[in-house]
Amino acid sequence: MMQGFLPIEMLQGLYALAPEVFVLCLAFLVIAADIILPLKSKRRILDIAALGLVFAMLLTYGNFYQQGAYYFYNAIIVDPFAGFFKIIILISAVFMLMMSRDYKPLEDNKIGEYTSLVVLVTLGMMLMAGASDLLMLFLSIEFVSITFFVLVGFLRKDMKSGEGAVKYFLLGAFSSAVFVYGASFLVGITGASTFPSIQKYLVINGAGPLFITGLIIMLVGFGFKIAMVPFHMWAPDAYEGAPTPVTAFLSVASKTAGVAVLVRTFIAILPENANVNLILAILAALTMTVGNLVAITQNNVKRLLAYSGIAHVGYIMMGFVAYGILGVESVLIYTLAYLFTNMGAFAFAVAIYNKTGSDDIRDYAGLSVASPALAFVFFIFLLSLAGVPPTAGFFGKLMVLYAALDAHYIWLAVIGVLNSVIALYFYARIAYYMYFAKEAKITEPLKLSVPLSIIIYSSLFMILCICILPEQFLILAVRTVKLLIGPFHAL
Amino acid sequence: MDLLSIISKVPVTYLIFLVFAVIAIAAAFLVVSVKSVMHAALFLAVFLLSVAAMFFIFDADFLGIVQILLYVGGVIVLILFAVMLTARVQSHLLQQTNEQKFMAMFVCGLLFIMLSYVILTSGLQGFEKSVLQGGVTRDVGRLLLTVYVLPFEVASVVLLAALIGAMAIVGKKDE
Repeated sequence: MMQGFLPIEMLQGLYALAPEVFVLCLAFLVIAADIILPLKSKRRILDIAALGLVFAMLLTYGNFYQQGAYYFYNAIIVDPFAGFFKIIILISAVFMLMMSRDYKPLEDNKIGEYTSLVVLVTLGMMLMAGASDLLMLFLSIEFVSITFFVLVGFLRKDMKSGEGAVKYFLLGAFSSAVFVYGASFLVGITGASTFPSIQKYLVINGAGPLFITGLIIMLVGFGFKIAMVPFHMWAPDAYEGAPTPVTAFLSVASKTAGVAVLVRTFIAILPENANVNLILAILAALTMTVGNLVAITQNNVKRLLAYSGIAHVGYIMMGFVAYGILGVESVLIYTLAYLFTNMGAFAFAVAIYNKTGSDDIRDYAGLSVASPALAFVFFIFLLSLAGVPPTAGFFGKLMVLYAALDAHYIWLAVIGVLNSVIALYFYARIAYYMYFAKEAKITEPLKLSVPLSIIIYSSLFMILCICILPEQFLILAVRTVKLLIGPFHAL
Repeated sequence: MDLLSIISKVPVTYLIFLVFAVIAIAAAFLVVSVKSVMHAALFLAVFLLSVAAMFFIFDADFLGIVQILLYVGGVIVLILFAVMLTARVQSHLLQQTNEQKFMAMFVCGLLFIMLSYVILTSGLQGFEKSVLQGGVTRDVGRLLLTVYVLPFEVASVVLLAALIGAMAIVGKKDE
């Protein structure tokens, strides 16, 4: 007979999911605020949402003190690993909302819908980070894809925005279908959809070829989310067409959430003896190389950051391939570095776009003369993207390479180092235009608004912090990872 | 043993399943190969109906009804309307396949061989009995409010997001 209805369990679950419940309420609040506020103060809605998400961040902080427990009949897990990714997602959401405040192409009368969608998509990604059930995983991935599709196409007067949205939508729908197909294999073999039940099945029966096949098919779905190379086609067009804050959000938060589910599914479900790692290693190498090689020829800063983002995913996967505590730790550190570096770079893109109305890097000429201090800060962000010390990007790359070497993936580490050299070239190209180009396109000093300067300077602070004082971040990462892998090894 | 005696030994459910499986595959093939989009949509309806029939055969009557209601009743009607309202799509001149179709067929064939090999060699066994046997609708309702309560509630939030998104996309252009 079926179990009875137990309200106390539900209440416990709701208590554990307090951040998610709060974010959902915030979405309703935003919709209500949209009705109440007059047109000229609509941009206040962005402030309300940003403040609310900061509060959600404080609530999520409680996740770090949990040992990791399943709620809602094993549909969702609350543990430090989920908490780590939720915080990254929330930080990028707050930055994104602040960036939107000064993004001119966004119309005032659309701010309400825009903000509520951003808050809802944040909720979806938070659920992704904690999903421990294939059904829940699919639903949250769909949630995020559908909402992002609207956000990418939000500038309806811009043809490119529409083109990006349609490409993102079609490929997203296709990859979701493939993902469900793979998941159906897993459910068919194990007779269960929750991760704890699948783990139990694996401990008894081991992973057969059919199970591995299902998992690899599911990888397609994840691959789309994180823009891994054979499934990256949508990324440049979607990134170029989307409003720049959405591009930043898509490239940081959506990828982060994808990495979270990838790590969770593969490391929590898959036993170590299964040989999927070679496939992942090859995909990582391809992702890095293709991303970097195509980025060389890009002149649009958003496209360039899209391709460089693809390359960064390759690095994150390299840490993931290394497996084990060190591997996941390097993934966490790299993701953290990627968050602040990319957010800072996109904030500059918005600031310069507001000044010149162009996303072309050749129009960055003369920045060093017009406002030398800001040009230097931008230069530091570029260094971090390229992975040059003393920046977070360098420390992230170091960790990932170290993890790969430790796991005896020497060829992968060599490809990683070679790719860093290629990457250095196209980031240096932006710096070249800023410092040495003959015809100055920017003649007046660049003025940063308050939200943009908060994003840029706090990101700068974090980038330098992660490289100069890495101990705190390492302790955090180690703690997070130990609690993730712990339950699986204990089984 | 002649064919008739073999067939007489197979349970009748499997024979019916086989018939619908063949219809489903044939219809699915026609969906991607016929020239007119209208015909493709109608073949899609045939495909979805035969899948619904399979649900009925395996005692999942609730799923079968939902399949007919949602897909045949809702989605197909929408597709047909969309096709009829778009003049260019309706014409027979529109090419449905692209120049990469042979490549696609090759990849799909390879995938088919690989998957069938893996499935046939893995000794996959079905569940003892259908999970949803007996008072199906009642069990589905109970499951939705207990085991699947979180996915169920999240689905409603997804619909909310889709609603807001639809408003943002089709709302008035200028004010």
